[in-house]
Amino acid sequence: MNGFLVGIDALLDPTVLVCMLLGLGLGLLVGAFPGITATMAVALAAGFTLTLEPVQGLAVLLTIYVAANFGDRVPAILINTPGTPASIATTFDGYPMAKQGRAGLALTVSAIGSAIGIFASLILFAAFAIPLATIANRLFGPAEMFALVVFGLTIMVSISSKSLLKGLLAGVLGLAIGTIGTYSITNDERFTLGLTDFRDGFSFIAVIIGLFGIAELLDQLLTHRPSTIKPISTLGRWWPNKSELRQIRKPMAISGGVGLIVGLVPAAGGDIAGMIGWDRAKAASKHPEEYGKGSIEGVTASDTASSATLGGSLTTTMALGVPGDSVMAVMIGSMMIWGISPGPGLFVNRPDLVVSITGIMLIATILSLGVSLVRTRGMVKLLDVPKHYIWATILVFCIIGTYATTNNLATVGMMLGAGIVGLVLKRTGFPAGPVVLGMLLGPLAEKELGRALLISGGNFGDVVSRPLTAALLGLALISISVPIIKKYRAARKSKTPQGPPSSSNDVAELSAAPGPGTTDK
Amino acid sequence: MRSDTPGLGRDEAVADTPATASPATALTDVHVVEDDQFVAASSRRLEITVAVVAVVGTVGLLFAAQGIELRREADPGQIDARFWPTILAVLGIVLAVARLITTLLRPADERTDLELTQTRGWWGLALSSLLTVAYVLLWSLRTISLPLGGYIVDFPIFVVITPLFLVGLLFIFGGRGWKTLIIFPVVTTAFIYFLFGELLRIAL
Repeated sequence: MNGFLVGIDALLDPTVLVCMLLGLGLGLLVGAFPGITATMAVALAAGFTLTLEPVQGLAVLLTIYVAANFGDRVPAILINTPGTPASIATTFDGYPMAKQGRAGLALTVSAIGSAIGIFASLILFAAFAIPLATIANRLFGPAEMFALVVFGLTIMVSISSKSLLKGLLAGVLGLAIGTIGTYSITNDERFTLGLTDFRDGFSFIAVIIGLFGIAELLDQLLTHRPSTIKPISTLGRWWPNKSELRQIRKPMAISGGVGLIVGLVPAAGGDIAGMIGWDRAKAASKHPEEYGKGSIEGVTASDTASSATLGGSLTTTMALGVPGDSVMAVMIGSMMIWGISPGPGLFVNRPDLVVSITGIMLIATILSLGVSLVRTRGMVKLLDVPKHYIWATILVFCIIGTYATTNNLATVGMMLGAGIVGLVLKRTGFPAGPVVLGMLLGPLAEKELGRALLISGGNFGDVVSRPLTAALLGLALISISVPIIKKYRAARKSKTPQGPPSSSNDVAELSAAPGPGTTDK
Repeated sequence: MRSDTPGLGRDEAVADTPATASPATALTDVHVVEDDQFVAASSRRLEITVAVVAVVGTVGLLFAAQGIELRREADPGQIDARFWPTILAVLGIVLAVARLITTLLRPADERTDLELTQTRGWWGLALSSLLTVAYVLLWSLRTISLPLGGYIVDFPIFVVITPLFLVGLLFIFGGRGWKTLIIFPVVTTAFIYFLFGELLRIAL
């Protein structure tokens, strides 16, 4: 049987559909609750998907990933609060539309834009994942893999942190955590303090649940204040008319293109794509003055762009082994536990997985679109659920989910410790993304560097002077230099008196230096 | 503009911005928070402290890396267990020192992406953390002996302490009423036990 048929056959298992329905419910729920990100949900779900078959587990996690992209638009439009960072740009026009009594229309257009963005990105994934993996498999030796890991890390650092130094330090912290345990080449113990629980290193799932789940929960506890914001209850008309459907075609095409490209950049997520897509669609619009004031084009642009990143993220994650965003970083952790190692060899050996993943994402998108269009009225009510229920449930599920990964309460302690560290990092402006990526990719980087040095007889110059390695390390250097140059230019600009910057420039700046929530879909 | 909303503390006051609704809508209850009032203030002292901790931590990492016991010398061209942590420590020291210099010479970073902490938030954090630690410690006992029908029966301690843990958390987080403090903890515990204990066969 060829890969296509094997992939389809795996999807025909009825339990896969059950897993997808579970993921759909969870994804829409977490998306709709502000403060609970898709990363957090996928990390939590990883705890109870470990006992499943890989395709079943992927069905749960990928459906959460897709469904959260629909659910998070609801609070963005109705209470001006993004459900996840990927819907930040949705608030620009979604909330003004809702205030004008057009919330229903905004929700529908948003769902359609999100679905089209994901469909387009799936075409990209299905078409390019195997060729990219094949090329990488042929051209990438240990030196190139090491350089690729460095490139992925620097990209995440440069994107996810307002302070480059803080981002780099966060990356070093993650890499250092990745060294804890037994060094696989010589079996020497490193930083284990003599504890057997540390010999296998820190549990990746425990750390990510701590950094993304507990830290976020604790921060919400610390900063929560009674709010008088009420969801908009007058939803108005739901379906766009013919003229509105014509109007949204152009921004959809432009922002979809932006999303596809941004998605391919390792570690760049839907939040960045949403903002850039919105900005580009505005620049190309006949009515740019309406953007930010309740433009149907604006909602379409932001949501199509942010959703169109999904396929690209999946492509770089699965074909190269470098996470496309933080959700994908968590997904890699789960896949490794199932015995699947994302990277150039994956799709060459298991082409059926491309079919299974594409099928799951396709069905998940259709289901999410259907539920979003039919049940959005019900989801509005979710915004009224009191915080104490959400917080207590999250904390208990973080604990039980973490325990389920190893049946060891020491792992729960690790997770709670990571939560406290995550809170300190968050409050002091250190992004969590590079910590996770460093921890995940550190052992791989060390292994590949070790192999490359062994091949070159210990000559580091030979390792970095290989053409592809040099190119990737050069790109890594550029990705770090660009924010510094931009900052320097901005500082010089602010010293020379001139007129107010255009909103287009504002968005470009914003997308270059987003807050800590970035890349956390 | 600050509101005089009853029941809100000084730092929780919100501004009432009337909705700019069109005549066709009835959105009179929409309130928009003036976020600037609730943004965490930038702090030079905090930045310097963090940078010093980073310097100390990375120097500590360097010493710890040099202290790794090696069972044998690495072969020619092979890297040993100290190599990678040492590289990371040196890189970290360079970055941490650069950060310290930056914080000493330049204004503190803005923290506009962080909300202001609330006094009762710290209390909630402390109490829920203590409760969580107590819960995990009690759970490590695994079973509890309880009298039942004249006999002493061993129960998994999980099913006894989880509803109590939930009651405590809900109370700390502001939940009140019998539905919140009785029904919700019992139903949630039953669901968790069914999902993890029965369905996924995890020894709770």
